[in-house]
Amino acid sequence: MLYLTLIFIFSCFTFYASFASVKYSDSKIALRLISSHKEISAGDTILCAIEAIMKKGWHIYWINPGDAGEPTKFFITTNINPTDTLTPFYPIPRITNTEGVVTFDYFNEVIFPFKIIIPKNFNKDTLEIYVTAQWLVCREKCITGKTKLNLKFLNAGKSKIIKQNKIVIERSLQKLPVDDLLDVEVAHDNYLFKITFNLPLNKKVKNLFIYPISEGIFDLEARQNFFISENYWTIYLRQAQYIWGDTTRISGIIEFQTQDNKKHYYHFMFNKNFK
Amino acid sequence: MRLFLLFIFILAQSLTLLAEQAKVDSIAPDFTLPSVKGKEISLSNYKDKIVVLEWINFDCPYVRKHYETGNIPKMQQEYTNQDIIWLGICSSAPGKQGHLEKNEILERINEYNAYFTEYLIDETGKVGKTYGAKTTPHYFIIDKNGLLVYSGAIDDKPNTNKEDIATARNYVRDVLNALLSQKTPPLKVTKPYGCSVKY
Repeated sequence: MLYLTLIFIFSCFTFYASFASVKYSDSKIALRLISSHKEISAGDTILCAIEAIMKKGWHIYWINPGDAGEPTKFFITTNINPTDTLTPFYPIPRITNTEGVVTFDYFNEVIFPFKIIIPKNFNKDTLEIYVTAQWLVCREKCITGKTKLNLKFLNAGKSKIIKQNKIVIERSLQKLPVDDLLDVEVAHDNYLFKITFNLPLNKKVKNLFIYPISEGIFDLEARQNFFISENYWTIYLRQAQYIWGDTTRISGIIEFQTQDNKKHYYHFMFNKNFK
Repeated sequence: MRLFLLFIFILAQSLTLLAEQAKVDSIAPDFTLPSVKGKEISLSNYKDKIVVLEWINFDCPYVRKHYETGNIPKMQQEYTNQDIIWLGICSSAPGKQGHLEKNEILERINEYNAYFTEYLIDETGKVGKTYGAKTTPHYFIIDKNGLLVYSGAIDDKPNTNKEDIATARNYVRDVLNALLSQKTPPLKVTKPYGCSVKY
């Protein structure tokens, strides 16, 4: 009996150690924190990700949920510097317009990757990652959820990589909007935002779309109109009927769809206290 | 020139749409809707009164949070006793969540001890869209001069946890108390939270 118990404990430990992951699950959603490493050494860059898998029909929300819902939030810290909080990358969401109520969400499966850079002088025995995840999962009804996912790595002085996890996280990173900030000029008049910028690509663009990261600023249902004039592009966005978001720092993502049907993403940000 | 014309077109489109929509600090658009009791109710019936418009869907867990705990019924009783008009408006389309038969609505009102001045049925969603109601609950408060002075959430705890009601900042109470004491409401717009309106 003792033998069997020990085998069971050992197999559980091996399972978690070999996949370098921890898991939460309920009847609507499963979350897993995974990493590219099993053991680390100072100076390593560790790729991590929170993977969320939803049951059919259920969805969670983007950083800006839109007209309804609540954002999925992550609070990530490590024992490198416990006061530093990390933010994962949020993939481009699905847009749902239900009779004028526009929401940005994720369904089926989504991966939120992040990177941890271990300083060269890191001398603790272990690297610890603490993630608190908070979400609202909805179908016909909505349920709030919160969990803690922690990972611990031995600072063995030599890195041990889990290839499978590394590939999964690298793939998810490739699908994300690039970090580059696009220079934009913004004017606001008569309930309209006029956002002008130079095209950052050397390709022909056939479509544009703005995903507003800032909540409560733009009318999400209104059609986004854009125009091209020689060297610059202009996109018009209507302001929300009721503005409740922070108007001092407005940000979003511009999606460029090129003639070859590829999509390219750039962040933009501007300060415009127009209230 | 072409760009200028296009801009004018977008501007005109935008202004036309906005002209039909309710706006904070502007006169609240009038409307007429059938009540659950079979009467035709217009906002203009309540001239010179403070009016609360509460978008409702009794099947939404966010709405149930506040009704099952008695939070909203208590507010309704307290404020209607102070001559405030409290109109519940359901914009759920037929067949959608929250669209109930009249007898079911009356049963729920009775079950929760709700104190609506009137419970109105907005099946086409026209009034909901004019006011820009996005969630249930979503509150709009109109002062005695007919100005829309508040649009937003009931409180600052956007979840379905009943125990959070005790520690929440209740925005609707804050605005109504300010209006009753003839002060400027401390808030104009907050983020509404809840289920999406089932237009």
